[in-house]
Amino acid sequence: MKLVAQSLRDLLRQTHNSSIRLLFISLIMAVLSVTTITLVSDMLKRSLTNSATNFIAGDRQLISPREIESTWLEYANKAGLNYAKSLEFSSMLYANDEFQLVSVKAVDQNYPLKGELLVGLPDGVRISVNKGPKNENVWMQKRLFSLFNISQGGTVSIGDMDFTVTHELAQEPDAGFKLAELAPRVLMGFDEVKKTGVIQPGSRLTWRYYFTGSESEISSFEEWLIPKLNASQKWQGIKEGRPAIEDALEKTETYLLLGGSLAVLLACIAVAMSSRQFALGQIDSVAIMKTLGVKGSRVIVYFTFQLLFLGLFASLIGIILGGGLAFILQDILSALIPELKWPVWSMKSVRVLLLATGTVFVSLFGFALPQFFQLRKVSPMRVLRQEKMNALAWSWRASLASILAIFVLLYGYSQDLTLVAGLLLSVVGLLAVLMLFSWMIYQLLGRNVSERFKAGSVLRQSLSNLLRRPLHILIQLSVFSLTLLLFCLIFIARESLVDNWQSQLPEHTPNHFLINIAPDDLGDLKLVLEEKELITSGLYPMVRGRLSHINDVPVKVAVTKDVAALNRELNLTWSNELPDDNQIKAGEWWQERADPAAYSGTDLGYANVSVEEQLAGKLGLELEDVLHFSIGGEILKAKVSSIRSVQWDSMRPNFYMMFEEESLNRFPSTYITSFYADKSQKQVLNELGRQFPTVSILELDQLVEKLRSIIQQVSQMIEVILVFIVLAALLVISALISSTMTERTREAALMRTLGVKARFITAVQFLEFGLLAWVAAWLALLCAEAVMWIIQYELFDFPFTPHYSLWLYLPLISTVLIGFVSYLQIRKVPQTSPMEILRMY
Amino acid sequence: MSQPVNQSSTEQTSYAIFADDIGKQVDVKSQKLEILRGISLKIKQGESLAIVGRSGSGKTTLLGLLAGLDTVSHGSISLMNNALEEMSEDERASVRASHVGFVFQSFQLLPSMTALENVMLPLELKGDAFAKKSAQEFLIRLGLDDRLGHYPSQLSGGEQQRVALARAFACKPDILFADEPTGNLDQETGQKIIDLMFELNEANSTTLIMVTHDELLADRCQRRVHIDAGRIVPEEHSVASNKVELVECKA
Repeated sequence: MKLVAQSLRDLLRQTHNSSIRLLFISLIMAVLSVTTITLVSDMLKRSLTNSATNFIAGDRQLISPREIESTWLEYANKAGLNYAKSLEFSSMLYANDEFQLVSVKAVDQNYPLKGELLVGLPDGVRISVNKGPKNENVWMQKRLFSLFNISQGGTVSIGDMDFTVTHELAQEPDAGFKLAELAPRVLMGFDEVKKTGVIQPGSRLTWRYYFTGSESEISSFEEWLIPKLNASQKWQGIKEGRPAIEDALEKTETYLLLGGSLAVLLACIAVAMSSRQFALGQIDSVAIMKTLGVKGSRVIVYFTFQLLFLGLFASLIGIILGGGLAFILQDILSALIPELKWPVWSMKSVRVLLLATGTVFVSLFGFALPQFFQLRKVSPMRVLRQEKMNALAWSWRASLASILAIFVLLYGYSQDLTLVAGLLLSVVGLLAVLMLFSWMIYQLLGRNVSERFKAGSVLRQSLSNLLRRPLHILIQLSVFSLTLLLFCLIFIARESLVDNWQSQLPEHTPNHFLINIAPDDLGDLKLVLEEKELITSGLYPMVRGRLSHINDVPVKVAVTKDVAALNRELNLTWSNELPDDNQIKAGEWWQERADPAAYSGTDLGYANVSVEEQLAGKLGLELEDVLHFSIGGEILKAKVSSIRSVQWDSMRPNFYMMFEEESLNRFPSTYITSFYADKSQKQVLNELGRQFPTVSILELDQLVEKLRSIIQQVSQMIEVILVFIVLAALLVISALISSTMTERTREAALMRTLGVKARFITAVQFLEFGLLAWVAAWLALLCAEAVMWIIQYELFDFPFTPHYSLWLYLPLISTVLIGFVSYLQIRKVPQTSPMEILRMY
Repeated sequence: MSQPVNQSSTEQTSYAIFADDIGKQVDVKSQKLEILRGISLKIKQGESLAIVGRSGSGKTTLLGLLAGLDTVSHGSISLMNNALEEMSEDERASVRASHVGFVFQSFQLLPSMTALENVMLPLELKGDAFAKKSAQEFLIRLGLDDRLGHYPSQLSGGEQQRVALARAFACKPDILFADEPTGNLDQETGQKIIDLMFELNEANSTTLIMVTHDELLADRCQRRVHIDAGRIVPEEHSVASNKVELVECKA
């Protein structure tokens, strides 16, 4: 007990000791990174998922071709979940002697559980409602009003039943982005479906069940439900339901985990380095304690308690600071993202607290304690004889303990064994490569390179300071470059992610579609669009046709899998130009051909068709395969001439099948286009609607806005990580510089007795570390580019481009920054009397 | 207080060091502790002076003040006609660079430099283009020809102090300050180092100011001052050969 009190007292007495301070700050930094990153990313993830779930009108969806057993819903109810259901089917809509195939969605009165259902009033104003239609009321999309030439209050019939059209359906939350099914939508009440009599055995139906509830309620229901599902039933959350958001979410999760792990790793390295300094500083005290008769084991107990106290204080301060920072960040972020309304602290925070305190103690006992174990061996003779024992001996046990600690920590943080193993192996591998390079640079320069510069110059002095310590240069150069490299990687990954998302949905992403444009209207429409300065993503003709045969085998035989595209008519288009965002993956885009008749798709010759990559995969199509399309009773024969990738979420018209113009233009077609219009241009839409009544206008501006705000959130999240990485990296660098400070202080004092000016000493120090940082930055850059080149495809699936801006800034910034950090540490030395410093040695 | 110095300004120029009524105070726990007071010294060029006294009497502090390593709390010091008390740290550094050399009890060689590099350091810092050559010559002269590439940790105490002597004399200082130069050495080695130091002192007509406990060593200097409790006191056992010129202490 006495020893415990003693260790606490001695610890408090040493608050001025710079190595303890650094160790303390490193510990706080580790806690702070863990707490803040985990809290903020958890909070953002929840709000992100929440705002994203609006897109699927609930937290989860169960999609089934048949009605599910009622016991499932009862179970869901018991599990505390709310649910809603809808039924989708195709049917003919009849009004004013006109027929039109429509896509009907029958919804119950709970729909939508999440997201906005918007209806348009006759004056063009859209309002949000929380329930769908019921009884004899239906809502339908605007284009149907003009098609049937009716207004609100008019009557339409579906099957055996007549309905009153009460509203224009402006937006349903879970409408897709894909424009594959372009049949106009009609929304009706769920209870009326039976009365229409359109549902017959064998009808193609889509039942959707929407669920909401707390994360734990949902996951327990999920566990119960999933084993019961058959192959045709699909349980989906936001990830499965919306590929674009899934992509953003998944990459962000990977990034956060990777970035957070790196921040923790860097903080741990700082802990390791500063605790070593701390241990080194204790050698004399230990020797004295031993001469006073304290046993080696008591020395360990003494320091263990000091570390315990240090850890307790650091955890406490770190958690308070981290929690506070998370609150501040939430404030800042919620100003940017209004949807962010989740509490910082939640049930999961217990895990955060455990993780944060765990980080402190694991790193203390993994990195610091093994160093102190070494102290046990300090000889009391040291008091009598100033032994030249400046460093604690390397011990494999201590190293093993540190590696184990890092492993435990990173695993606790990421809970992803592959990630941890990958990260550690890469870090060790990179460190080895960097050490090799550092050694090569040292060998290349040689110890005497400084003699080429003017005697007494700052440059010569800095160089000779650097080069006469091969071990230091090796350690410092490799640790600096490793730190900078990790920073580079995380920075590049951030840029790639954000750029990639923003390039998917850049400013002025098309947010309105014009569908059903008659060829006769084409010329006038183009003129109007031009006049209103609306830039389209191109006008594409659309011909509806069904894929009937693959290499003369009927598709139903050739393809056994259930591929949705085979169950309906596809939208076929022609173009002589490859759309900007499409990429040829196999084969070639066509050149103009001399004799159009020869490739008309009739028996005279095959037409060329370019097939979308994923569909080609599902259908097992290869180049040169022959496809038959049935278009209005006529057969078009085409040969697969290329396979192309398509950006489905680009908000441009996208097509599975593209043909040469001459092969398709003899079939009746309508045109489709998309364009960007901001709020001030909304008026134009009404004009377009009046002038071209048969053209349907699809307004996706709110959807695009939502998607952009999600990307915004994700980018913000990533900035937070970057700040932490920079701080942790600075800490490592400070710890490394500070570990050389004892020798430097003495050297500086001696130089001052030799008549060297203070400015010279600080300049030499600045230049020395600046030079080191400059070389380290280039090493880091080269390695980062190499690593990025290798992993970018693997991990994030992006194409590689060198990061020139980093080339420009990194060497400059790191030189100045590291030089400055070293200056800060030595700046006090010239202010103290050299007498005072020399007396200490 | 500066009056006597002004009056004797012509007199000053013939002295290597002219200290007038200097004192040093430090703040310890918000109390002023007087380490030195009322000390006046005139040291001629080429003269050798021993500063003796008990531990904690203020000898080393006085040495530091005279060498311009620290600043006086009052009084004035002129070193080779440079008024140290009026100078900034950087200006004092320039004075040290051109006039002063040091030898310390704990040698103060830089552990990361070889013997040769340690001697070269001050020469290089002065911008001497032939630093390497001069340093080599000096070390050879001191019998360290086979130790040029050795690090301090590979040298014995005597060898380290010889390197320190070489470093001090290589710059041809006007004044050499030595702080217990034999304190860390056995008697025999210490004797050799002292012989060498006096030899170099004579050969270069350097002024030597030395702090020491060692009576025999003090005896080899032309004169000595005895410090007790921060003041110069008359020697209790005045040695005949001493030509101590005590300046009246001011109260």
